[in-house]
Amino acid sequence: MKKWLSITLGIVTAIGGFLDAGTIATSGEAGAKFGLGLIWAILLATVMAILLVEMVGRFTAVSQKPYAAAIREELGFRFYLFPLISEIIAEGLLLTAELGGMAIALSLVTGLSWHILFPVAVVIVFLMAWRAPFDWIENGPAIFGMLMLAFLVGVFVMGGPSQETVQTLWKPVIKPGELADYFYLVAAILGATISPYLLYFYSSGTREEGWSGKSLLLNRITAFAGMGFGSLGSITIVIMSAIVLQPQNIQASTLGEIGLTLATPFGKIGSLIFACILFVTCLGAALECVLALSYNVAQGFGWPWGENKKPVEAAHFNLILVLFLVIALLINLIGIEPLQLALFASTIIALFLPLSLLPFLIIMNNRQYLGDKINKPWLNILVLLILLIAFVVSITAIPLELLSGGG
Amino acid sequence: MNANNDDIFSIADIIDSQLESSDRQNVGRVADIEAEWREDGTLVLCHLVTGPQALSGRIARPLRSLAQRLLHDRFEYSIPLSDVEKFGPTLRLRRKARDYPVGRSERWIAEHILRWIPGSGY
Amino acid sequence: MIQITGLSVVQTTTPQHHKPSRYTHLVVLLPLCALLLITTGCQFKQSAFALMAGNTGSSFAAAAMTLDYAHKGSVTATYARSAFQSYQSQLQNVDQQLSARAGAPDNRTIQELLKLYQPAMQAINHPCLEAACHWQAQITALNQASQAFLKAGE
Repeated sequence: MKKWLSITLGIVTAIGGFLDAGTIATSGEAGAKFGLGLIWAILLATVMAILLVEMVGRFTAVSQKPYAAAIREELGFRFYLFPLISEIIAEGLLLTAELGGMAIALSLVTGLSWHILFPVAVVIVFLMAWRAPFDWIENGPAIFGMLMLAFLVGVFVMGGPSQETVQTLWKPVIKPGELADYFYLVAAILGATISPYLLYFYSSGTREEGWSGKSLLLNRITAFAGMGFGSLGSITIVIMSAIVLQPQNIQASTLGEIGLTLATPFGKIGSLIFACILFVTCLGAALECVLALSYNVAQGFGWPWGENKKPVEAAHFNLILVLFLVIALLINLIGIEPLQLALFASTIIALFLPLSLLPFLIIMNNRQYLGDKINKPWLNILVLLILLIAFVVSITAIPLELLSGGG
Repeated sequence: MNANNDDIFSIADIIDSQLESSDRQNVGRVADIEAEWREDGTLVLCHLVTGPQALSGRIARPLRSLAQRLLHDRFEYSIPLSDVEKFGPTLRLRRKARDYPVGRSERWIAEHILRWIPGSGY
Repeated sequence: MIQITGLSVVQTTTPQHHKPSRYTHLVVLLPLCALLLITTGCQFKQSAFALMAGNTGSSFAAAAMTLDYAHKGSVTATYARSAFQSYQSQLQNVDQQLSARAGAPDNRTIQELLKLYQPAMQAINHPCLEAACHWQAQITALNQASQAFLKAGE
């Protein structure tokens, strides 16, 4: 029974890794600008997320090796540096965006400026990452993340999308000059959903939970349930945004605007629920981000790691965690709006996806680690294809976005 | 060597392997290996090397001498191969974690940085 | 209007082991499309002026909705205050940058836009979140500015 409770690992991985400032931003903007015309991208990303999470869980459960350790052992130190560096860059930006999302959520409740609240968010994440046992990190965001269902209820209360909006599901309406925007959002959606940090976190999480080769069914269900939940949340934000914001010509370029979608059916409580959702998902994501990098480095260099150890018992691990938060504080000084930063970080992640996931694919086909549990050929091909799509879309979208000075 | 005769160990298997002490602590990874020519003409693996200098040499050879000039071998440490109790993806060592200076940086961070942060458990 | 069917993209992910040639086509075609898009980028992207005008119009519309909700009791006053801070940072200095943007129309059109921008910006900087002040007038100003900017951005 206790084992099955660890399905929360999937839910929390979803809440932090799938649903985060990036997803809320991209989903909100996607719905407001293109109706349901980007839901296909979310579905594509969901398939990818389910496959990857199942794979990394299977790998760690069978081989008893966390993912980062396997990259170093299998591909050597020099190669290990590539995914490591790409992760540091992408996640430095993303962590800052998540902390900004938390600060904005606090701002929506207190009325104070989010700039003042940013350090508060850093302290909260630090306290949880520093001393909270893994159970807390898992269960806290998972329980509060259920609030995400408010968007689903909202869709029903609003009577669903109009006939015209439903048609955008398979026939997106893209006005002249908006095609670049459309591509940028596809890249951002893919990057916001398929974040590599999700894999490092989930992989280490299964070790912290002590999963073994017998946990494969549990792993599969966790991957489906967790990522499915994330996908549902993401899609319902798109729909609500298409119902409420698009007719008003509101493009959802700040996070507070996306909260109006819940205020429309539920009033004041709706706006508060939105602030809670934003806070919890960003907290979950910030924790995952910061832990994923610490796990990655500690495992890659062979140092002790683990949330259930005292900080001094895993010194490097905890030092990286502190340093990474300090770096986020510094990046924040540049003063980019969290939502824009989340969008940008997500497209950067999409661009880096081949770099960060190709080694993973190689390892997933190694019998030394996995025995007969290696990837089926169709799984490899499917993952490669989605990687290719993500790469092409992001390499197209980023120059366009930078050229025009938008973003 | 304790490796079974029917196991074939290549250098690639040993380099980058996890080092684990007898009390099940992770103490680092193998960065490089040292071998010596015996008089009978055989090349014998004798030491596992850990440390930033050896690692930077893995990225590019010139980096190694640069790192050596900066660090003066302070963090380099080699473990005799005879200390390895069990071979595999994880190399189990015969002695406890505190007997190996490999984990020195771990203790240094705990003593000099983390202890000043409340709740570090120091 | 350009219309794209999202479904055709999804279908490409169906695995087909036996025909690797399909994939080689894809591998060649997709980067080609990307190259085409990059080189002809300007047509796929609005002008800098249209982009800015559109964003400004959208932010004014969001502000009007937020202010309306604050008085209808759909959002709390603190929520509205915080949201307005974000709108403020989105809209700052639009008046100074607008005419310098690529694709900007003639001076008269800009002046007309700015005439509507000023009162709307007044509302953004000092929104009436209490019942006592003229919040309806602010909503009107915001909506007028929003519509004008959205139209200019089209």
